[in-house]
Amino acid sequence: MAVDMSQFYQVFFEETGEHLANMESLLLALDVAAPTDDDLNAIFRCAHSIKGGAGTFGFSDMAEVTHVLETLLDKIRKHELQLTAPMVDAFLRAGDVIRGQLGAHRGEGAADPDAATAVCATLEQLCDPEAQPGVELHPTRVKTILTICFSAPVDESATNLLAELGTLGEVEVVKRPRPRKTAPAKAGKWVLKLTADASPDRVRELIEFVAVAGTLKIEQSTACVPAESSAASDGSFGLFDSEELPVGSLAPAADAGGDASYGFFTDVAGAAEPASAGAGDSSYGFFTDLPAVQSPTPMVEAASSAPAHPPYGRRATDRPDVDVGIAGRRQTDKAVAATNGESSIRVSIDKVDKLINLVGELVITQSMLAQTASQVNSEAFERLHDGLNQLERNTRDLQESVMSIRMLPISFVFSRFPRVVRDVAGKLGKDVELKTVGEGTELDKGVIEKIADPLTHLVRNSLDHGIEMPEARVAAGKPARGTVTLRAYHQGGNIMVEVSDDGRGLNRERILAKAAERGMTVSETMSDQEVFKLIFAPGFSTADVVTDVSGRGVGMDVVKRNIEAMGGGVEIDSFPGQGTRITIRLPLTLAILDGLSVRVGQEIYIVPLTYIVESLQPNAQDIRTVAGDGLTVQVRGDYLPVLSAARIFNVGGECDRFDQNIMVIVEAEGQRMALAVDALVGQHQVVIKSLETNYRRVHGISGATIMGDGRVALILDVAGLVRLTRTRELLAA
Amino acid sequence: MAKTVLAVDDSASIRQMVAFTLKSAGYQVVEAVDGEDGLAKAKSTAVNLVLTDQNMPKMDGLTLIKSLRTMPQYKSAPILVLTTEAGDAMKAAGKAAGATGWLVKPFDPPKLLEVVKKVIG
Repeated sequence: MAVDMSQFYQVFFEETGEHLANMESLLLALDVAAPTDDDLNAIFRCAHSIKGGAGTFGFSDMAEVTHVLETLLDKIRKHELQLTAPMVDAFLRAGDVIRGQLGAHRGEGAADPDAATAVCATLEQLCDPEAQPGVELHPTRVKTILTICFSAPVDESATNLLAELGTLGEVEVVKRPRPRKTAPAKAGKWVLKLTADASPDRVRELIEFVAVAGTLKIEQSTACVPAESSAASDGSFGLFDSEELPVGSLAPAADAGGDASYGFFTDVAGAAEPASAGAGDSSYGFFTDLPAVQSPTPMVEAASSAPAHPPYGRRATDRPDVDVGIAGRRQTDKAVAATNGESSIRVSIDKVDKLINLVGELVITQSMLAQTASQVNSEAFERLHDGLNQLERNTRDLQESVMSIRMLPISFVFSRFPRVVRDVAGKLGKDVELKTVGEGTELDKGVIEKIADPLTHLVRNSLDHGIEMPEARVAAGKPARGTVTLRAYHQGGNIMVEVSDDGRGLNRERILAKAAERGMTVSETMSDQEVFKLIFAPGFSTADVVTDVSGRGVGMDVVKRNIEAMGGGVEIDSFPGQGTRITIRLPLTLAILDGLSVRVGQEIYIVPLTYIVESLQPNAQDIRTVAGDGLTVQVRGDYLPVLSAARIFNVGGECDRFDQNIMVIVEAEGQRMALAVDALVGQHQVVIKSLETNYRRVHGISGATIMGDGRVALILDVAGLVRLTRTRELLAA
Repeated sequence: MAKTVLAVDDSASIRQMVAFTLKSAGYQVVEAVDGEDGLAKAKSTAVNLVLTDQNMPKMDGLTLIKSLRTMPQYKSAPILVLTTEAGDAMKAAGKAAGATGWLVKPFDPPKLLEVVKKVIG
């Protein structure tokens, strides 16, 4: 029967990603000097599961690496080898390699075969310290089928080649050139099928001697041994035979006649033929005479004496039952996360988004009805009003629960940082401890995905520029080990994420000096907050300012821009010698936005609340015309460029006399600007609809929403508008 | 009446593959995510064949088999252990635990079906 294995890939990919993440966090938390058996077993199981899946679904590169990884882990968990720090390093690197391979199979980037070879060699070396490194590459049990095409003459060298390949595995000549009498030495096309443990590189080496240069092509088809060939000669199953209970005399493979990949311990439930039926295949097997539980195994004693008791616990009489219970419970505690996973289902994000969209529509319909109903006589339609009130409540609850589907705990992002801190601190020669607080805080999946990069940037900065070298810390009277803390919590309708360190803090004087050097307007009277904000200016490298370590500390402007693009904001607190804290404010979700609705002519626009500083009605004398038709408004001593919404969107405002307009002062990318509108309408939570997917990208507009009355309102792209005024200023100048 | 197979494996992808393969061949499949779950499902459902992974969290395959064998209804039911090891030690352990047979991982759908057909027809 033909089963398309690719239909299971997605689940395998996700599962493998989870195993890798799990393995990494277990490794990072591992006490190298005294690892617990539970942890070692859990790590082993991760590698083991990846290997099993990779083998089954034909990802032989992953199966190869995990096999070597598993072999070493197995020795450690069986206490044949002592765990060492280099081993943990190698495990982590192997995890990276497998993650790369996984990515490549998913179609994201390419795997690095050299890294895989290197990490396998390291693992093997660690596994068998006496062995010469790199002599022979791991005998993996995963069978690979190589389809080999090349051109070569039919002569002695070809015969030798076939013999040599034969030592690697099973060779099948699919096609060979017909020997021609006229030109016996002429090269012809060969197609071989090799089922072996050999890596393609090894095979390539052998064939390249014989093949005409450039004609060799090797394809790795699948790790699974196909049924027709397996039936002939592999050992993947078997049946156990009767009577032969003594362990030494297990002879299923013999009965199954060559295939040991399965087996039966004989006389299966009536329906089955005896073991010999498995003739030619020992990849499975049956143990014969199964019902004969009279066999003197310890398990049977347990069965008869305490049928309700797990025999395992009984047999281990030297170990009190209590112990087993405790061990079991501890494992249960650890597996809480896994248990949660078990009672969950995987749903495509598209389905969730569709649901969210529909609920958004429902919210709009509900408020339309509510608005209409508010105009009818409430006494006459009391029941209608009651019903509508209930509808409103239900809609709100429904919206909340649907939104929560997309919510993930921020631990999804935090979990990558133990590794980042370990690697970066190691590279810099610093001793740093990472603390995480509030990992359970939930955030929209979209926000989670977008926050990872900026956070990584901030954490790296803290490690690189914040935390001092151990000696410097001791000299400053601080513990040698620095601390970087990641904290997440709710505040109002926002999620706050803090990255703080107990390092040297930002240097106000140097930032000011650097800013002055760059021609920014600065003054000594600026508040610390204002000074610190300067590091978010484009091109302002913190590396130049805060430390002499250069290279990585760039791009704070990118961090800020990315966070603002999500509708969030960044703030810095810092005390010299005590440390720096960067606080990121994020919206709970990207699908809903808090906005101020403003009217321009007959149109309603939404200004995202996060960008708004204040709104005011200016005096006529505060408005000045500059350079052509440019306008500025003076707000408490500052001159801000004025952007007329009516002109930008060409909708014809009520009048061109700006002193009768309302100015909404907005700030984006460190620059403030006044947006002239006709009126402020109100504050709303609006459901964001993409304009790009439904229409096309429009400059100055980031999306659209449907208002309570059913009208469409456009959401302003404030950052884009600020950029627009900046280019205008440049053009004018 | 379709025969029911209990597939116990902590790997969702393997489980899915086994379930799909067997369902396509007309079997009913009950899935379990580890030994404990397998034991619970075996208690609540009448199962004609148990396919269990060996290495799983909470309760491994051999422990599951031993536990099943203490239950009257599974005293002689066929149980296959799916394992990546096919060494004699593993086979001895499987047999001692009361397994009916073994199937080496990785296996492909045709092989799985071949073996399952052999056991329960």
